[in-house]
Amino acid sequence: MEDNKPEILSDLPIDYDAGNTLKKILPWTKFISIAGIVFLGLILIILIFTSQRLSDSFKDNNPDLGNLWILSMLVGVLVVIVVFGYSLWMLLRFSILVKKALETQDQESFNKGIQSMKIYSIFIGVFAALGLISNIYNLII
Amino acid sequence: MLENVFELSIDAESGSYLRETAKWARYFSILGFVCCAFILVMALIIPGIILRNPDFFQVQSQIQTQGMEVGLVVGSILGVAIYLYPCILLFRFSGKLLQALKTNDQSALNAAFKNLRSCYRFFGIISIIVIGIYALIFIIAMIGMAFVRR
Repeated sequence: MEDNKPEILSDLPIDYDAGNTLKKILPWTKFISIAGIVFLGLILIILIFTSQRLSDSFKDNNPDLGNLWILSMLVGVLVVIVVFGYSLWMLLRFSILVKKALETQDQESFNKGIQSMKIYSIFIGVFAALGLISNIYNLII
Repeated sequence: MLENVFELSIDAESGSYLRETAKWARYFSILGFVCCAFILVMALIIPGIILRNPDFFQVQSQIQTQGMEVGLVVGSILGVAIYLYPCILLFRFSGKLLQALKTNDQSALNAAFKNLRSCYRFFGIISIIVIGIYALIFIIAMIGMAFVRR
């Protein structure tokens, strides 16, 4: 089948220009991922310390809703934090592995780093779609 | 020999990862363009809805309403302008990367990485600005609390 042949003709070298550009990307991805993880950690700490108060005020405002509903809401927030944290960890992993690969010329680390960036891109794409859908839903309802 | 400084290459494995990354980046950038268009349309529609609502005039004066209207439109346009830039960079990154992987074009690969660098630099600077604003709010709040306690 002519259409099923791989698109890569041969290995594309990381030349001086591409390598240096990659080197300049890494500090920014490292900074963004660490800042994001710290931010999520802060949200988690605030949530732990204020969960009882939040739950009480929510019960006062919505007496019809049971404890299970409040618990499921808290678990939902925790799941979002964990999933978003994992995507940021992937971005951090990209910067660590590609830096290592550029320093030691290790092809395996480079591939793993690029794989981490792919996973991060997938997560961000899914998050963006969910965000857009929820915004449109809120606007309509 | 500057060209041979790095012994790494985009092999079949990393090529497949990059191709998938490029597809997601393209999808994400198109989603960003859709969001920008959506925000712009909303910015043009919502002030009209507010102006047609007679209840709103009972609470707000006409000058306040017009001020809000202008603020909403200008704010939205500014927001869209800021958000559009990384979307363009991501779109260029995905296009150049797919082209590089398809035709083994070294210059396209370099251009793709340069667009990705600009995109992450932009998000990094925005993050620094946001962290700075939060830090400023925190400092002002602390000073305010110290004055209140006195």
